[in-house]
Amino acid sequence: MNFHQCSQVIPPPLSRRDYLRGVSAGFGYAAFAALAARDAQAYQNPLAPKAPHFPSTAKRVIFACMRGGPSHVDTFDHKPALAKDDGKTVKDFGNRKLMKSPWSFSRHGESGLPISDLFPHLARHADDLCLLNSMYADTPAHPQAFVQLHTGSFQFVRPSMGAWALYGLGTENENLPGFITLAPPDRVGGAQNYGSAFLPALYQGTKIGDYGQSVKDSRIANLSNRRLDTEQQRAQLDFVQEMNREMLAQQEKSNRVEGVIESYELAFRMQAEMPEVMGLGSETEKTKQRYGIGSGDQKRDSFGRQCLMARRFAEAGVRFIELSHGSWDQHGNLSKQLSANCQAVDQPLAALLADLKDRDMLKDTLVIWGGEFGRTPHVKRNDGRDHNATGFTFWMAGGGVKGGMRHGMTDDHGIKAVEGRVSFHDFHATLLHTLGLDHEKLTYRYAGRDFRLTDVHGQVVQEILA
Amino acid sequence: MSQTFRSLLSLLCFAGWLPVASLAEPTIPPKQLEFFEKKIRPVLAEHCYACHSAAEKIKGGLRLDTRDATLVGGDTGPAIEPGDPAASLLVEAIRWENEDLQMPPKSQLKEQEVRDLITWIKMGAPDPRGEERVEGAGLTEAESEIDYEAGREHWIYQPVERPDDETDLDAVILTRLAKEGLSPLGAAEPGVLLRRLSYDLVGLPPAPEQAAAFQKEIEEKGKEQAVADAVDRLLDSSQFGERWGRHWLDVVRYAESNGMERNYLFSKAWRYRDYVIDAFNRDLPFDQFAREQVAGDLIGDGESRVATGFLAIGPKMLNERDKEVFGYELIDEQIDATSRAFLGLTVSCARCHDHKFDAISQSDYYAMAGIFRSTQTLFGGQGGGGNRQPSALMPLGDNAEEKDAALKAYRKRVADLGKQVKSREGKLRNAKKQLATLEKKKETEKMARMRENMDSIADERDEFKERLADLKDKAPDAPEYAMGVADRETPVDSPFLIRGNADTKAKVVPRGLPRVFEPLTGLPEINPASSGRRELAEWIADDANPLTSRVIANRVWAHLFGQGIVRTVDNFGVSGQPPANPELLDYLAASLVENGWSLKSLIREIVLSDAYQRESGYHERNYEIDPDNRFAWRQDLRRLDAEAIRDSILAFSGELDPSPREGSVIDGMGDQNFGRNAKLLAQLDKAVAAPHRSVYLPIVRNATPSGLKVFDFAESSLIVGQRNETNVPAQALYLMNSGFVIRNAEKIAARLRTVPGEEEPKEVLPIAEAYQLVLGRDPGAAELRKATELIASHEDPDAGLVTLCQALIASAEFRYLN
Repeated sequence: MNFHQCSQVIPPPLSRRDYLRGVSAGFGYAAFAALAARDAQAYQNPLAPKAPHFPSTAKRVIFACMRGGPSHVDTFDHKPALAKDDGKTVKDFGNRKLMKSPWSFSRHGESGLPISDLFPHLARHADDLCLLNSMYADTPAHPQAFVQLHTGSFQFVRPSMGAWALYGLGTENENLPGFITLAPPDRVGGAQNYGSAFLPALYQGTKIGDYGQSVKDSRIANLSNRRLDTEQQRAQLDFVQEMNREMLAQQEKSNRVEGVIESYELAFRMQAEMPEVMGLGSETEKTKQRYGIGSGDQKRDSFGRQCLMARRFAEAGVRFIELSHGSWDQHGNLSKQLSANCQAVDQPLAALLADLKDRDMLKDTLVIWGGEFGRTPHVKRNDGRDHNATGFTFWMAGGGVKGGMRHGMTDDHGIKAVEGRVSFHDFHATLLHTLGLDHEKLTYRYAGRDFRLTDVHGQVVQEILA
Repeated sequence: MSQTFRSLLSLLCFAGWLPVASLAEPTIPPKQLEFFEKKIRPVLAEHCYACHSAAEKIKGGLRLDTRDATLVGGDTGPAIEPGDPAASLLVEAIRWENEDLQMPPKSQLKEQEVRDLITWIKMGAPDPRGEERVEGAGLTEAESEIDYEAGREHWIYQPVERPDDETDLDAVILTRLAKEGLSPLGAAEPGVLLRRLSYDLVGLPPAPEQAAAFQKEIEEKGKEQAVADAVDRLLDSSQFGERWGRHWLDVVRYAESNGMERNYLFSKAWRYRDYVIDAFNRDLPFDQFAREQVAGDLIGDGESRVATGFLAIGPKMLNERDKEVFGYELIDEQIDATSRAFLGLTVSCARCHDHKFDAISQSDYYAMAGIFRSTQTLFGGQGGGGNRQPSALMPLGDNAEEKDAALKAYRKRVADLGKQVKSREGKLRNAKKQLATLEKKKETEKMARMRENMDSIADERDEFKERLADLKDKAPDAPEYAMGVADRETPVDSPFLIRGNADTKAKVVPRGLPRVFEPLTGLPEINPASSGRRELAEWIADDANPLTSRVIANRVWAHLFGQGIVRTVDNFGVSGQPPANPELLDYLAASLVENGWSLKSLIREIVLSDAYQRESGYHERNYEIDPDNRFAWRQDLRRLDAEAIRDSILAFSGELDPSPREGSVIDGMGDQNFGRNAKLLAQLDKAVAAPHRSVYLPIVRNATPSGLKVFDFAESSLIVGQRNETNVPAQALYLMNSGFVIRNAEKIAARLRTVPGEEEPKEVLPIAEAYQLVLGRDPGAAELRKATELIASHEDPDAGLVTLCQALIASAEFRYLN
């Protein structure tokens, strides 16, 4: 085939040449930045930082999501009556027997917060912890409750809370995604839990790693090039960007083309910064040890890496970071498995809180711990507990939340939340509030109505705000 | 289930003690009531509720704690047939006659209790339960405060009016431009226009030869004729349906799996996909297209019933225990899809309360709900593994029903024989144990009898085994299957659910259509003997329905201009946006109907207009007045969508296989839960790597092919008339680094360097050819120089050519239509 035969030579549009000549030679970032500044009025980066509705107490969120429903009566909801009534039957629950916690609770910190002996490391941060002992969910089924925890709805596909946070506030680091989720489960709703649903796709979470596997070897898709080195790729990109700028010059006022130009620069920078932030190579052995990395406990090592990565993302300006650990679904073998779980997460979480504090970042980082529901205080088989959505515990730390306090309570045995009840909607409203966002004003118009993370529900838990 | 359900309902209607299908509020004679309270309720509560009630468990999908739930039944059908104990599953179960159905499972009911239950069913199963689940009994539906008269003032309820004094599409647009003080831009260059037409109509770039031929034709027969011929050629191409069918698949949330928390595969969804592609290719009039999707099983000889897959492919709460709750969720999804896809109305907003914006009351919603409640949705799936709501599929082809019945009967026989064999084996094992005991006790006489007994059991077992072996190769021919719907034999209206909650039922609402339309379209009488889907379909497809034609005309316009005349393409309600140019919208809608609802005619008319063919440049004054180009003073710069990007790259490298893909890889996977099964993921990845056009790639919810997803492919759980348009770095990274792009860039470079018939590659680097292929134009002198420099930065010029080809693919110029 002879290509020249079928080519109509269309004269190239030279009219903008003069303008371009000024920036074309050795075009690099500085020139790009100048150009970007020039057109900044026309193009608004939708991820650029946005002002909150009111002054915020948290700039970012780290949510340690404990999949499976961690037992509250064995961890953060001390129930002396449960120990007393051990072996007694509970009405309305198939006459099952109550089972006292196999672990004891001690008081910690100046606040004297009762924490199970399963968390010796976290217990040292008792005065930073705000225990939400009165959480409840609408259903004791894993998939529904898990999706509701993340999106507010288990009936409909709705944006995840991370996507809402990013939509509301944008992100502080142009070189990184604003919402990162580490090793999320692909069941129980999968991508829905970090999806953007009807919000623009750029608000969805960037997933790193696979559930149940160490994030040690995780990569972001297409973050490196198999045939070009950085210099060659920069040359290729300069060529592309020059074409793009030429097109922009022809079109003028096109935020579409500007968006393309910007995304290439961010992508190029991400290639450099993402592996750097994700890589733990620059951390000292001592730091790694504090997080339990290299401890010989694989699970602790894995979760320790998530926590350390979270701190690095937080430092780098990522808005919403979610960590995953599981499973906490102990229908049987509670004494062994719950203990193993706590050993895996206790030390890394404590190290995360300590590190954030050292960096003076805990004050504006909201750290959250919890799962889709809790577990029954009565026994299942000999050594297990069932799902309990009627009462369970989350804790929060930092980000303008009071430390050393318990909010709300369950009944004597930890079956139902009876005082200061907090639904997932309330939880979402409170989370947004710390970020300076009014959950009733953070809306997105879709299919003819304004949607909210909290739908038509949600009340900020004022009592826990410092 | 449906068969018994239907007969149950017909019986109820016939017996006359229940109003049609209301399942509500019968008056029970005091004696019967006393019988129920004394003899029946205690038995049900003591022996059944533990496994069959909302408060405890709902095994087998069956609840026996309310009248409605008992009548609706569980996975295997209604628990009781009032008046007919012999046909009642409950009776079969409590008699312990069927080995597979023995309830309560641990110990049989007392003789007297069984007799009482039979007597009760003979009585007609009088049952006062039902209100117990209603919080605060005596609730009634809220009085509707909808002011229909005021609601009808919204523009959509005015008849479509073709502007009188305008002769054609351009005249309508020019009139408005003049009024706004806008001056239209000139015509796009022929090369630009051909590229635009080609992507818009078939989703693929013009091959360089086509571009050259087009230029030649312009010289020979003039531009107008050459463009018209090119448009006809593209419209006639089978790739037109692949392009425009995909647009429709976005709207109808097409996918091949359920999504949600139980992601069961829809193995036959592809039949609906192929129906849609074919419908666009044969230019099935849109009114008929709409009719078939809502009621294809009810019109003509049902040949188009595959079209009703539209109602079956939505996401569902498959692990919901409560059949009734599941049913109402399904209905809601169907109402939402139907009303938004065809009418641009968000009727499902009125599920829990009157519509907040539009004149659609909650009663209107439940009137429509009855239509779908009278419809059986056939989406397939097998129970178990968290799928609590499996359903049948729709058999297709000659003698489909008979074949399907024969196959089911055959499967049941095989299963039954298998059970018989197993039960004999179990008995033999027990006997063996007993024999050992007897041996210890040296009870020789009993041992002899036992042995005899065992011999006869073994004989029985062998006989069953033989019969099973005989059956093995005799499976009857399976029919083809598709997803779809069918009418229930007897329709059933929906109760008004207070706050949309199935636990709080108020009065039953007769089936019907939204009353706001009454003066405008008239509302059809719904045949009491059928679901009303047919009437709904006819009403949607009616020439007089001003929404159907406007909504689809607007969708077509949006695909050709990048934005709708009504920007909220799926919402024409009060909360949507008004049309930028109402005369234009009505012109298009009227034109569509006048041309027999031919979409190809409408598309042809639009793309042959000056408005469509304008250049996409900038104009300062226009930009000040109308920066968003709402009045079409230019053609907008539009992004290539995910499929166009992928298909183009494959076309450039010569890898694209343009033939339609037969079926779907999902079909071969069966109806299992997709989850994180590594084998299925590997199969899916392989299928995604195939060089077919993107429309044929498997679309599994939550597992959209990454190369499509990254470019804002439609979220397949949602109705997406207009896709998101984002510029996330993930797109840039994909074009910079993905294996797909680099691999194809290498192939493009190799292809460009090859001289057909010669072994040696080209002497001169084919830079101009690369521009022609990817961008449809020659490089300018400066570009040529830059490209040469880029290539020269590599030691190996072949490697440099790959870098150049990839750069062209990554450029905004390729990614956008100007």
